[in-house]
Amino acid sequence: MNPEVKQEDTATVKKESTTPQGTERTKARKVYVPAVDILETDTSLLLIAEMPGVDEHGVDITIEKNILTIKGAVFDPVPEGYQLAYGEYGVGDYERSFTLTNEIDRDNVQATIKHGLLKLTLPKVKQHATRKVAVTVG
Amino acid sequence: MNLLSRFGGRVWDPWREIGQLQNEMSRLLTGARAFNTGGAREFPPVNLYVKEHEVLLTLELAGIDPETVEITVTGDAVTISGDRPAEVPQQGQNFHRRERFAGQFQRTVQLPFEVDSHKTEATYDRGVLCVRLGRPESQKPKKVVVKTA
Repeated sequence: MNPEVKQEDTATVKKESTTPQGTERTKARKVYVPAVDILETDTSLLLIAEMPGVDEHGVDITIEKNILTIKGAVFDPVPEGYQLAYGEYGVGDYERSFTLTNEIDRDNVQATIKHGLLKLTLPKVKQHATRKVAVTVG
Repeated sequence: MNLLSRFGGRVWDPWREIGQLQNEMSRLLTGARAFNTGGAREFPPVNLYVKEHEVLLTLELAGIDPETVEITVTGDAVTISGDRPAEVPQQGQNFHRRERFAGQFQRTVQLPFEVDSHKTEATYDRGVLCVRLGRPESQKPKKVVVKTA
């Protein structure tokens, strides 16, 4: 384990997602930033995002240029007629974006979701062998 | 949590109220935030919903094995405990970010009334644990009909 990366103290506090200044979302629902773990190996990046309430139908992943965006639409399990009496978390959708380096192979990204946990595998482009250019006397 | 006492079903006990106040104070002093201000620091965060003689607890608990979660009901309190193992980096792996909670957790929630452990039902779907608790017949408030002489 890398001792330099400590677990953040605010791990269980949901942060609300922001929009560019002066703009608003069309949906009135709140949008939160999912907590993530990101692990790197020589060959890939593994991103684990916490999105309780989201299943495979509600998740949306896009890569545009070098921006990876993950979105999740939440299913609210509370049936009609129940009143909130005490609340520690807000129910809302999820959204978060990351910038990717050119190292990532955008065509082979894989994603799975189980029990509200999204796992994204972002493989790295295989390193090209260094080519030497032979110089001849002209 | 003394917010809940207004739902009734319990005899007023000043010592209990003082104890709750103390808990509330220590929570505030340790930096945990109270009702509806962005959530507490404890894991997992809990929401409590009420409908007549039923209570519904929802806990955001993504990516656990539901069989390892333990739920115990004692009178008017419910305890949920379990373990969410840390993501163990394999050789050559290192963390860029580590924001998710990992490890053992335990939450005890004080309910607005006593519940019947036989009427307790728990489901785990899409990473949300729902615990539904019902009030026993003997604890339900009874209407008294006033007779005229």
